[in-house]
Amino acid sequence: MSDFKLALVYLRSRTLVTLLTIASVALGLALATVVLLVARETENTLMQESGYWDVVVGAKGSPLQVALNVLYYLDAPTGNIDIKVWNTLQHDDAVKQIVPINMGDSYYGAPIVGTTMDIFAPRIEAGERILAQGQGFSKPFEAVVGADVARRNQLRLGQHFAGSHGWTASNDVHTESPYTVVGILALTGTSMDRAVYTDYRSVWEVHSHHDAHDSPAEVAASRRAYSMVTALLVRLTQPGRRFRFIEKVNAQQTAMAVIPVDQVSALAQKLIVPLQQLLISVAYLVVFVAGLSILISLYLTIHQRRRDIAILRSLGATQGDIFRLITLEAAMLAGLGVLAGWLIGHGVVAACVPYTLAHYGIAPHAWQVAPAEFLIAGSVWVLGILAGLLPAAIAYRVPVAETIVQE
Amino acid sequence: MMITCTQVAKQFVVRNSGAVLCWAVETLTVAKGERVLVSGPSGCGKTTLLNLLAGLLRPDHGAITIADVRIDELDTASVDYFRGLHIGLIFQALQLLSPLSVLDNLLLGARFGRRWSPGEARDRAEHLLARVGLADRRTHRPGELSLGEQQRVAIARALINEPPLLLADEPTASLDARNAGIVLDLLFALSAEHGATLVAVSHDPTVQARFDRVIDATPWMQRAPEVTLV
Repeated sequence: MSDFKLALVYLRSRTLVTLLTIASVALGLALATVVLLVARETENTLMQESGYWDVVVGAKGSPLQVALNVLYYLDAPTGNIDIKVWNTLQHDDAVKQIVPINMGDSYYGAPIVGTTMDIFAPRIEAGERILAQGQGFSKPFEAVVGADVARRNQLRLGQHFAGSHGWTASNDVHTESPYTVVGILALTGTSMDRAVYTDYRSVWEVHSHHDAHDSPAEVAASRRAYSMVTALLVRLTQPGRRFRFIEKVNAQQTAMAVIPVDQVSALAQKLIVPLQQLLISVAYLVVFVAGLSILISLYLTIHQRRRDIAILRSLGATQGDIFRLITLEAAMLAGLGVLAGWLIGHGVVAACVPYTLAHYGIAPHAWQVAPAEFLIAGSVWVLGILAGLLPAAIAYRVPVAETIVQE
Repeated sequence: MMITCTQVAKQFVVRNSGAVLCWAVETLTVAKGERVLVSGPSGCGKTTLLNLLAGLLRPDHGAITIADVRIDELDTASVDYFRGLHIGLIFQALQLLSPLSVLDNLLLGARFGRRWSPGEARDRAEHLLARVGLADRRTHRPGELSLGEQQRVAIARALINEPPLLLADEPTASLDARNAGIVLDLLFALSAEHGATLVAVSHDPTVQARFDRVIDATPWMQRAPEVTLV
């Protein structure tokens, strides 16, 4: 009979206590795992998205709001900028690529982003697959829809749909200007999945159409008014030219240039990192309590098992054998807790993927192991073993003859 | 396996009264293969002798030699090894491990005897269970057996390593006459198979006739001032 089997028999002989102990360890590790995964995925997604473009140009206002709106579609636009800004910057020798963003409408909560197909250029250059079906848009009112939008609304190639005014579903639906789905984007686990992309002129024309019954002069004025864009995504010939470029743009009255990476990093430092640290502290606290539960569970069981320990010694088990057996039980309890916690943690994240995708445009890689997980899982396991040392030491010192005679 | 105890003494403090008792034996010798019964009234120190011989207690004074090994001089781990390999113990209170099956109780004895490979241990355990008439109860837990059956399991476990010395503490105390007879028959038969020395403790006068020799333990336990061993 192996030590492993003997330890297993004793763990099974007190099933409820064993399960509760494993559950407490699992809870702590699951919490830590979820925090790690969410932190990793949030950071990866935010930094990846913000890293595609050197500069974002938007209407003057909050720089963070510009970055969140243009890159993640998480906030309302700060306003619009005159198309002249776009025209001017296109000819700036520091600019490698500039892509317009026109927003204002949505389709069942998914923002309709008026732009050009160049918006996908950085992703294509990074080797990402962009289109899952169909092709890109080439003229107004052709649309490519994000994977999550297509799934939730059961949109298919060739299907028509109408956007509604504003960021949320409303009754102000532009039924007179329907879009045609010409492409469905591949699932990326980013904000791209929950957006609709169309030619930037579509947005102008949709809103111009409102004024169709107005006088030609009013229509012309309206068209001028809509000859604006929400923002511009800019890639520079050299990233080092960002600061001079920003200074130049910010010198204007109407537009503002921000470095998205800086904004997102600042957001992460201010909000996300402290929250992660708080949650990880809580997770460590739970793990510590789990370690205590192993100690208490084994400590109590040692007192109940004094007779059994004495019998093992009488059969020839050394004090070292007893110490090893109890430590092995602690290692198995902690190990099973770690395994269960890891599965629960990753399972919870996997179960939340539809929600995070729908609300935040993030699809965490739920079953991808973060290197830090090994550290935490290893720490919990070692902590569990350490928690078993005191009970093991008590078991080590059980007096054999006295115990057998007394029992 | 030859046993010799020379001027062995062990002191005990009585918990309630605080009185000091001293267990002392001037000389005790058991020949190899001999079957000895230690008898005497309760509290005279019969079980103390077995615990000292098994190395579960360490004497305060004197020498205990088993097969030319001074077990009182061995360190704790060495005594444990020695006991596992050379001594089979049968307790008064049976002392089977309740979470384990009958078969696993035997295999546990083999595990700490460190004599057999896992396959050999299993064969040996199956053989012994058949010999004690419990082959069909191998998967049962001790709690599912009668006292007589449990005692037969305890005997089988004590013999799994074919120890040259068998120490039995009141092996028939909790059994009726019929079961006591069965257990003693098994104890004698199985220990005789490989010539084991048997030292048993019993206050039952009806079993005395079956042993080669009876040792009276009555004078062994005394109040400390009366002991004069040097």
